[in-house]
Amino acid sequence: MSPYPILATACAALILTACGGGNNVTSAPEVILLGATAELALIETTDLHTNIRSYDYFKLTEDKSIGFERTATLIKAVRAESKNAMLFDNGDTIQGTALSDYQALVNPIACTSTLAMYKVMNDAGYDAAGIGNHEFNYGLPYLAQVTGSKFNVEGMPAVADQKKCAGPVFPQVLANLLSVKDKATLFQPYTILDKKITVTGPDGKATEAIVRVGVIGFTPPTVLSWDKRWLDGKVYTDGIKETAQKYIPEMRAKGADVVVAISHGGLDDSPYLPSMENGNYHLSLVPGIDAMLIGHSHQLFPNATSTVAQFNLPGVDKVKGTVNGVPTVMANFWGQHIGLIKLSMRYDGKNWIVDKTKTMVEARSIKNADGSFVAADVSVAAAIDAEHQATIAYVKTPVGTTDFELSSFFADLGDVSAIQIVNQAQADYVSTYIKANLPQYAALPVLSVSAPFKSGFAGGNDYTDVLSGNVAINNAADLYLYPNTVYAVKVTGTDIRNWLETAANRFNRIDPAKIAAQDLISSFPGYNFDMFTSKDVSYEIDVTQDAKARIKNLTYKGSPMLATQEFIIATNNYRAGGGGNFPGIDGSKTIYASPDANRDVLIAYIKAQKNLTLVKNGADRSWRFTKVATSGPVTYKSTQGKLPLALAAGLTNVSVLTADDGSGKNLSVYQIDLSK
Amino acid sequence: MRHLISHARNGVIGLGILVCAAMAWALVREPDLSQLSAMAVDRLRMHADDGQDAAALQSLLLAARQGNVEAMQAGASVLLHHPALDEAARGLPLAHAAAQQNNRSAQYLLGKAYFDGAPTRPPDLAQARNWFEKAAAQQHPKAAYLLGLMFKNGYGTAADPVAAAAWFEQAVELGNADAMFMLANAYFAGEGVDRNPREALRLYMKAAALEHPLAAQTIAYAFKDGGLGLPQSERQSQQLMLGVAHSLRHPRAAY
Repeated sequence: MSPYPILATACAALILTACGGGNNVTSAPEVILLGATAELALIETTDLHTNIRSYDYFKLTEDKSIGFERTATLIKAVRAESKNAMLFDNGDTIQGTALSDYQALVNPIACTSTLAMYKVMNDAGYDAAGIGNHEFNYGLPYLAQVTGSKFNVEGMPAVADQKKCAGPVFPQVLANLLSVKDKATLFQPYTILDKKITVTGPDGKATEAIVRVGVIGFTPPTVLSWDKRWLDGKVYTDGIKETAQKYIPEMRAKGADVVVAISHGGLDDSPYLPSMENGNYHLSLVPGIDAMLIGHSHQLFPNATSTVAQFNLPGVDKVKGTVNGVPTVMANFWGQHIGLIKLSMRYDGKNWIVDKTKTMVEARSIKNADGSFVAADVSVAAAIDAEHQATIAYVKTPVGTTDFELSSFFADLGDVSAIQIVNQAQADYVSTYIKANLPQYAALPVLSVSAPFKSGFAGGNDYTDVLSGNVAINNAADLYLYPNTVYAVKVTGTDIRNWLETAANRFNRIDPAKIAAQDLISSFPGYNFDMFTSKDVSYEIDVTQDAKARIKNLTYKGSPMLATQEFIIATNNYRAGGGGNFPGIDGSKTIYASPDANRDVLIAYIKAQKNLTLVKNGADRSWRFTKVATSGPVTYKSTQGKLPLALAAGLTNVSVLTADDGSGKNLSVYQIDLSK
Repeated sequence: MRHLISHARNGVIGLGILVCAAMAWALVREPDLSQLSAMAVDRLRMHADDGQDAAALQSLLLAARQGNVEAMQAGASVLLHHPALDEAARGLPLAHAAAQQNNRSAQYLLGKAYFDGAPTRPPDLAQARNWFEKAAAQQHPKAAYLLGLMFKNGYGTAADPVAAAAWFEQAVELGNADAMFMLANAYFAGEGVDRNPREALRLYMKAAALEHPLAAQTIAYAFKDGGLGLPQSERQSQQLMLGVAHSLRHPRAAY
């Protein structure tokens, strides 16, 4: 490679040094003498994901184990004990809760308003922040708006025509993400902050001085593959190490006494490649870095008891908190911890020099030793109360109505009222995507499977139950409990049969001759009881047969489903990737891995449908038990007092055997007559 | 004396002309990129791929022509994923050339291209297996994992759970989280290995520590219903599930 860029950099560095950039004695309020010492505390937050309040918006309840309102208390405590504290955020900040969705998508924030997350960060007095990968989740125009930036990227207006909106009052830095258009970084790659600090003079007296703190930011180079739909053709990334090698000498030449690297990523000691996701092991080996504030992995460092592979590498001291000698913190996620690095510095007559041997590194938790949590900083809740209340109102807002009760009390027996709507939403979403993007599959039928996610494992209250009337966002969380994303797989009739046979393990084998009562439900989990709810598919489950021989009369559109017939099945990432170990369903048949959550797809579908009706959305049973007369009762436990719902769902073969099963869990023993 | 000076001057001028000629030649001639480091190649690949930098792709292809095997592999990977079909078609021969030089990444890339097929070309599972085996022989984790999947499902071969588990085992030893998850499933079900829920749990944990969302979700489920020999804990289950929600937003390329 050409040596000229290096020479040019060297020359520029010389010129800058000659211009006095490297010596800041003159800018200090008082002349500092050789040998003055100071301590500089660097506080890190990371992966806050807009958890401002200690609150769970889907359950609409307080959750004290998370939330910036408690992290803020820890920050204040550090400021009280340390005169020279600086506060930095590592990124993954503006996405992750219903509140962030509300401000980004539901009621998009005005250009003149500051994002709730940045509001409380402004109040907390952040000095600088990095940019994570989740900052890109809502697209580049949104990121530009809420950070008060202008981006010169494809698909956005010319920079001159972009409005500068309200953003954080602290600088944001990102050195390794560039625009395809002009090959320049979207954010400033680094900043150098003149921090006024209290120091101890050589005479032992306290005095003031300025320390120049350079802050550089990195995001995982792999961000491009995660937010492809927003970023493809617009931006690209560079490796962390070579980006650091380019800028850190420049920062030093401009007079940075201390260099702090804010790098959104973890540690990986495999041989360096620019495209590696967690490049900070190698970053630590770039000369000139005094501290690393890392994140992304949602882990804690330092942590003496950590068994995480990345913190048990050669050169990584998980007790002292150093990586190849560089003080390093990772402050967990959602505000559960802060990271704290106390740098010990000495003035050498020209610059402040960090003494790495005297540096202290720790992580502090919002959880006290006795299991309680630190008190919330009430000013945080007050600052964003309007946004918080609006989000709660949004979560409770009806997105549609239903003329029937969507419940899973009898889903195991064939009531599809809580499942069909999920299948309809998934099938609709996948069909639409295939038509637009995967023409090679457009001729294949799209079906969907889903399961009763809440099926009484924890007792009578562990069922989905959405009453008729309004359906709100938080009801959608009841209908779709897990954070899965929509996947589509291409399968054959044989695969479908195997799939249903596995799902049918939900049932014990019933012996028709047995006089004693037999429980119908086995230990096979309800969330794996996948079923179709479609007029086009029909099958029987014969519970008197052994496993793998229970699916009978499987038809598609009235004709036997052929072994080689091909279908697309809409499901979730867990199943498509091999969760539950369904035969042949192991990632190798996935044709579409959507970034969208099943729950969000469900909400969008209900919004589009507006009014759900039993006829349209709750009565398409694809399967029945094969009829068989049994000598003794076949029993099934579910919530007390729900028989009318079974009857309403057409399950006329269900009756109450014991009104209270005696477990104290609000359960009845029901009986199912398999001969009907 | 004058003669000497004149001679010397001519010499200087001559040398000058030579230097100029050399410089001009150097300008016209292609730069020598045959010795580009793996790091430099990876960087060019990033710029050529996501950065859509045509010059970076040209540099990669030039280095490839000059015999740089890493550049052949990287150039092939950019081309194979190129949205333009004719460009994509150029990727396969280049991947072949690199794979034949025993570059394991190229062997994997080529195997994967045959495994997936393309709109213009159906999958070729025999070729896929051939190149995966060559790459796996050189400790390529994903190649070993995909061989496991091929034997598990009977893709291009008879289904053979024992062989599948053995390939997954190799991929696990090479640190592949997908293989940890698959092998855990196999231990839990006793497919190709003796049923061993403890070993299944150990492997799920190992994969979850690498942020494998499905492994974490499996453990979350187990905490919920006390499966896999874990104590029942709604709190642990929820914590893990929240972690799943996060890691799902930035999955590692599955294979």
